[in-house]
Order: sequence, then structure tokens, then C-alpha cells
Amino acid sequence: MNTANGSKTFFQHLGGWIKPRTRIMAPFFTLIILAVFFGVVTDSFLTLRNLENIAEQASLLAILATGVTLVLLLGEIDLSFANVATLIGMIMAILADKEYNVALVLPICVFTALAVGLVNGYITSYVRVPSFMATLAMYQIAYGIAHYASHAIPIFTVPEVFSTLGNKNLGFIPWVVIVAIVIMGGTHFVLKYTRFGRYVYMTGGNREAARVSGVNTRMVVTVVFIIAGFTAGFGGMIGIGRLGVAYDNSLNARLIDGIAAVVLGGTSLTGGEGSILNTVIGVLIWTSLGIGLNLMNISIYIRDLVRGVILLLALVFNILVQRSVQVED
Amino acid sequence: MKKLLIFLVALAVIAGVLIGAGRKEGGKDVFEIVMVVKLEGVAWFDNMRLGIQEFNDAFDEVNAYQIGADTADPAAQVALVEDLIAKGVDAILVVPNDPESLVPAFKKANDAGILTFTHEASTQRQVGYDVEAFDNFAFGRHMMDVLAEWCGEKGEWVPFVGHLTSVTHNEWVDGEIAQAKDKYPGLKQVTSRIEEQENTQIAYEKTLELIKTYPNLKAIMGSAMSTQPGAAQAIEEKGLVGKMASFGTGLPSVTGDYILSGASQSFHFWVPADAGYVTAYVALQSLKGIEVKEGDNLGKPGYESITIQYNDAGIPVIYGSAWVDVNIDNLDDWKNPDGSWKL
Repeated sequence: MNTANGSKTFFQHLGGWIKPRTRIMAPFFTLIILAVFFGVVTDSFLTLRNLENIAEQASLLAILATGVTLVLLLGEIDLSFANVATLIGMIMAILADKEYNVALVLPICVFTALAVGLVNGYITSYVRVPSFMATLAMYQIAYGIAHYASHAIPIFTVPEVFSTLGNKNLGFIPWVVIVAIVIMGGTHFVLKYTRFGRYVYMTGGNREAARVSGVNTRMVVTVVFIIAGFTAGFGGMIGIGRLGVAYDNSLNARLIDGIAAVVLGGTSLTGGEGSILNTVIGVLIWTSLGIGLNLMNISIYIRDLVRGVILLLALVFNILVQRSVQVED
Repeated sequence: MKKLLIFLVALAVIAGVLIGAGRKEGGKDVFEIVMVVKLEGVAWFDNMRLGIQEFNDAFDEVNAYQIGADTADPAAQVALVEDLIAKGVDAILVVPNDPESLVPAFKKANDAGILTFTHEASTQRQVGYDVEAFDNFAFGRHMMDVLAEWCGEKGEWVPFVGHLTSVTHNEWVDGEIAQAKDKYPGLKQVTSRIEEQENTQIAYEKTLELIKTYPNLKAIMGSAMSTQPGAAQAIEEKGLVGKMASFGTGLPSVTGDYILSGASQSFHFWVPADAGYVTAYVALQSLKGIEVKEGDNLGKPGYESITIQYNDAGIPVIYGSAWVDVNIDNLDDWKNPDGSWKL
């Protein structure tokens, strides 16, 4: 392999560059494989119009998944975010229906979302109820409030600004894509370049070690859940704005999508490993998969099976790539 | 590394097989017309697919097919419509879960030069036409005729609705009451409309209460699919078959057994396959630039001479008179050879 002067070959360089980045490269390859596959089997997957469609549909999921990413980085879980999104969207619609000004609606909704996050975080970190159970309770509570407040009757008023954010474009870029970039970009910056971001990774990697080295891990957990409350709530407002109507369960099905997307992106369920970039890729994988299968027009009776198998394959691929690199090291 | 290689080879094989399976036969692609239903995997929309398939086979210049999500979720339906816009189809037909939430997506479709249509959404905005199997008021009048005939145009009856807020159900009952008032003075509505919350158990319990309160009650008129099974069950248990019966909407699979027992005397519905066919036909006419007019024959029973009314948004709504009456005489028409119900 060695050349005359002892320098590395191109592939060794490439290998050296990829190895420390396998956590992001493996899902990235999965995305490429899927894109090529759907590009071959359908005529329309790799068209500009469909790529815009993917970006638009992925963006709402991306906003919701941002909070999920942070929570998973801590090694915690949030089962409530989708129902919280629906609840906050529902509150927005109810207030808009009562003709409150959006300048009032927005702070009320954001405040409520933060408060929900605070409750999740406080119960998890200070009361020490496992987040699985604490957020499962919040899952019920959020749905319960939305169900009670609406009496299962849809509400057809949403503030103009959220209808715009959900549906309209700025130039040729959908607003929802811009919002997702801002929210994810901001979160990425915080995780990567601030002390709080380092605390999140430390707390998720080894909570005891983080605590011993002076990190207020309870506070970190609480703040992360508050941020997750915000992304759930804001995502809910855009999601309901996009639909133009609030049902008591409009976005609840996003629970599986959000968690699947984050994990597909390579963020670890056990904490400490992953990033917002992983989630960007995970969200694109999950959305591409859904849209690609729709465009292939395969029978509904086997679509779930195919989606499940591809999900499993992608997860196995992620693990195998990471493990093969570790073994060589 | 070896494991990874094996995995990749296996993946390539699977991908190859799927590519082979996924490739559709080319050729027919003049007008791509797609029906997006409320949800897939239920008998109602399986039946509608037959109509879309028949339409696809009937016209050479058409590639028509049906898609839908696996839950009746407005957001999922909007996403499917957006996928179709990205795909660049020619016409999108929708049986909406929620008419209002489709409006922005329909607008996007129209901006991209794609025509949009709906079925079962007479208040819809942003479509070329909405297609309805029948006028709800006329359907109510018709169901009342059937009820009146059975009880000799006299006796006590009660209307049920799913929810008091349900627009369609209440329009049917409005039609029933109007017909009774106009033509059957011997019929007496003993109490105002009963709400059964689309729940067979509640329909059953309410019927038992009514039988107790009004011993001479002759007929229950259901609006939700869930009313007749509940009411008929109560009638059977109280040994009132022959003296009392349930009427109203239903499907062979839901109400057929009670027709056999006599507790239900008839039920009514419209054929989803025909509705799907007709909606696709309206789309094809529009794509060809042919206007669909009052009195046109759209090629399916009950749609031979349609009427058109404009809704509040100014959208033309096409009405057939495509209700189907099922009773003991024609129940077997709805059975498959293996004894299961067609719908």
C-alpha cells in the first residue's frame, strides 16, 4: 500500500477523514442510498419540485425533533412532545377564534409551552420520576386538555402569521424551512459553542461524572426540557397554522416520526452521542422514506411492512458501520 | 468489516428486487388522475378503489389510481396531496377528512396547473367541482318513504343522529321530518332527535329506554352507521321483531344480519365505487375542457341526470340521486361467493 515516499493513498486519507465522523456518515450514506433508490424507481423523486416538497414536509418534523434531540442527548426521553404540539396549536386556534390579537396569542402560547417543559423537566430532574413516565403522564394531560377544551370539535381559526409560516414561501423558499433552519441553527450553535452545550453532552455521557465536576445536572435537564417544550409548542403552532384547523389530535401521530427521525440520524438513545446535524439527516431520511413510498404507489397493505423493514435495515446499517470502524481501531 | 460487506451485498439484492417490483409498466400516461381517500384498508374505500380501477380500464387516455394514509388524519392527507403536486399529476381527487385543511394544498396544486376535486365535501373551497351521491334533504325524504310504507303510514317513530352537531345527519333528519309532515300525517315523531355519539352501545341503550317510555313505538330512524345495529339488537332482545323495526343508513356488513332477523327492515347507502368513478369522470371531462352541466349523464346508476348547485364559496356541487336501498329481497346481491359481505 505504501507509495515510494511513504505518503498515504487517497483512500487512506478518506478513511482517516470518515472514521471520526461515522456517527454522521452512516446515516448520510443511508440517505444517499434511499435517494438513489427512489430516484431510480420513480420518475419524480429527484425533481426540484419534490425536493422542495421533502424540505417543506421535513421542516415541521425537524422543528419538533430539535427538542427531542436535546432530550435524547441527555439519555432521557420525551413522549409528550407531539401531544404538547397539538395542545399549543389548539390553544392558539381557540384564542384566535375568540379574536385575540396575535401579539397576545403568541406570548400566551410560548409561555404555556415553556411551562409544560418546565413541569416535564422539574418532575424528571428534581422529583426524579423517570422521564419515560413523567412525559407519558404529560402525553395524557396534553391530550386531555386539548380534548376537553375543544370537546372534540375542530376549530377553524388560526392567526394569519402562522398560516403564512406554515404554507407560504419567501421567494421560492418555504417559510417553514426558514423557521426550521433558524431553530436548528440556533440549537446547533448552543450545543457546539456554548458552555451549556458542553454540559448537555457531559450530563448525557456520564451524569455522575458531570455532577462531580461541578455541573448542575438537574438544572441542565430542566432547561433542556423547557427548550423541548418550546420547540414542541412552536412546531405545533406552525403545524396547526399549516392545516388551518385545530383538532384535539392533529399532530399526535408525530410522536413516532420524531423519535424515529432522531434515532435514524444516529443520535444515541442512551445519551451523550449525537447532534443537530444528525437530526437534520434523520429527518430527511424519514421524510424521504415516507414520500418515496407514496410516489412508488405501493399497496397500502404492504407499505407499513416495507417502511418497517427499511427502518430496521437503516438502524442495522448505522450500527454495523460504527462497529466496523471501532473494531479496526 | 466482513459483516458490513455481507450486509451491503444483501441490501443490494433487496434493492434490486424492489426496483424490479417498483417499476411500473410505462406507456399510458396522458392524464394522471389520483384519488386520495380518507384512509386505506377499510371496506368502504377498498370498494371505491374498484371504481377508480374500472375508470382506469375504461379510458385509454387515463392513468388513474387511488392512494390514502393508514389513519383518517387530516395532516397525513395534506402531505399526500403535496406529494402528488410534487409528482406533477394532472388531477387530484380527495375524499376529505377535513375540507378546510386541504384548501392551502389545493391552492398550491391549482397554482401548479393541477385540477382539484372532492367527493363528500359540499362546502369545499378551491376545487373545480365537488361530487355528492345525493342531496341530503332528498335522501332524508326517501328514507322516510321507506319507513312510512312499512308501518302503513301511521305510528310512532324517533330519529337518531350521531352528534347533534353533525351537519349531514341533521340534514337527513330535516328531510325525514319534512316528508313526514308533507305526506304522512299518521306518523308521529314522539321525541326530538336522539344523539348516539356514533356508538352502537349508546344506540342500544337509548332504544331500550325509548321502548320503555313509548310502548307503541314502531320505528327507529338511524343516521349514523352505528344506530341500526344497536337499535335492532334492542328490538330483538325485547321480542319486538315484526312490531317494531329500525331504518336509516347502514352497510351490508353492519346491518345485513339484522335484515335477516327482521329487526331492521331496510338500510341505505351509496356505492363508493360509483362515487369514485363519477368523481374521476368529472375530472377527466374538466381536463379535456368539457364543462359538466346540469342533466348530464356521468355513466353510473343514480348519476344519469345530475343536478348542480353552487355552495357558499361559489363551487359547483354535483348531486346524483345515487342511494341504494337494501332489504330482505336484494340483500344477497351484496354477498360475495364465499359468504362475506361486499361492503
